[in-house]
Amino acid sequence: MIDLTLEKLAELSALKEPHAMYVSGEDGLVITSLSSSAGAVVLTGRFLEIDGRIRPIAERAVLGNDRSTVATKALPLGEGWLLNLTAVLESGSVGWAQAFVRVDLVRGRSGGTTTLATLMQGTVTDTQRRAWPGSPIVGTLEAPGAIRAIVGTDPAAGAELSETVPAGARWRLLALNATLVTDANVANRRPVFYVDDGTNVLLNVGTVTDITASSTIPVNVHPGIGNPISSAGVHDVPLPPGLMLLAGYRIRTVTTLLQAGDNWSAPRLLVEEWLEGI
Amino acid sequence: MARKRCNTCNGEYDDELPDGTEYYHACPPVYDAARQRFVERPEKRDENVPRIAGEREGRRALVSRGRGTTAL
Repeated sequence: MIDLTLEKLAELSALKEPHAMYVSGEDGLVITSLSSSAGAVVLTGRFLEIDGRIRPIAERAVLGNDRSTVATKALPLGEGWLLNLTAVLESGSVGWAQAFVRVDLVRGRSGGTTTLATLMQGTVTDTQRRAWPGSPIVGTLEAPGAIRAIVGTDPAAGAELSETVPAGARWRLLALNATLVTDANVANRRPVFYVDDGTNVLLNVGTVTDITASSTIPVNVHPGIGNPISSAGVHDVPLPPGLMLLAGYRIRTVTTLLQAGDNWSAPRLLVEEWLEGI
Repeated sequence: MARKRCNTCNGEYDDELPDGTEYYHACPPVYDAARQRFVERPEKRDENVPRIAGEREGRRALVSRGRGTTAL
């Protein structure tokens, strides 16, 4: 006759789960998240207690929403076997690559904790999940970024355009559109678009056709053309394909002979955005 | 969503974009004729968040507040 205790039964049950991970009572989970948008991640899973009962895991963690603030939440486990985990966002408008979640197994509850294993890491949405076991460990820069349409700051009359990549972000600039409305002063304006790292100019490309008084001229900045062109009152300025901009980098204008009454519209940018990471 | 005017550069912007992400205004540089180069605007406002920041007493940490903003 086999003397089958509850503990032995639980151990035998765990052996049937190929990925079951034994954890001592000192171990716990930490959910770490980074996001560009407000929301919350929900971590669910199953935990096999030492007495053989399967306990569901359900934990909610609020995302850091400014790309830089790393939000963490600890989840004690107790002694037993971790069977599986799944992470998904609560319903909301957070799109692909806007929220990044990592789940670690750590030893220690607070203060100096030691990461023992990274179980899952990657971008999640409210419909696309990460799972342990199953999902690969993916960094923030290893997958396609978020496609974002940005309406920038509308400068005062006589002022230049300037957009700064937010802290914690990395942009691939796909297109920029802005309109220059010129006043009645006679002058030949020529916008030049500068890309800098906050201090050092890395690139400047300009229009080759003058913009005269009392005009409303849309200007597009985009890859795919070899030289600046002007056609039917629209100016196009070339951009290197795949131009990557780090946090603090700027794209701005320097407009030759810009008059005090000349007015740039708010720029519209199309960018692919990544979170730099945790 | 709130529309604001920067009291340093007079630029106008919404603090939240249509996709739900927050917008971080930063004042453009100004041309210094004497030095013949662009320099940072005095009292520049930069709403970007320092790398290690978060909230302090309910206010989001900014790189620099400049002269503040006016709600529109």
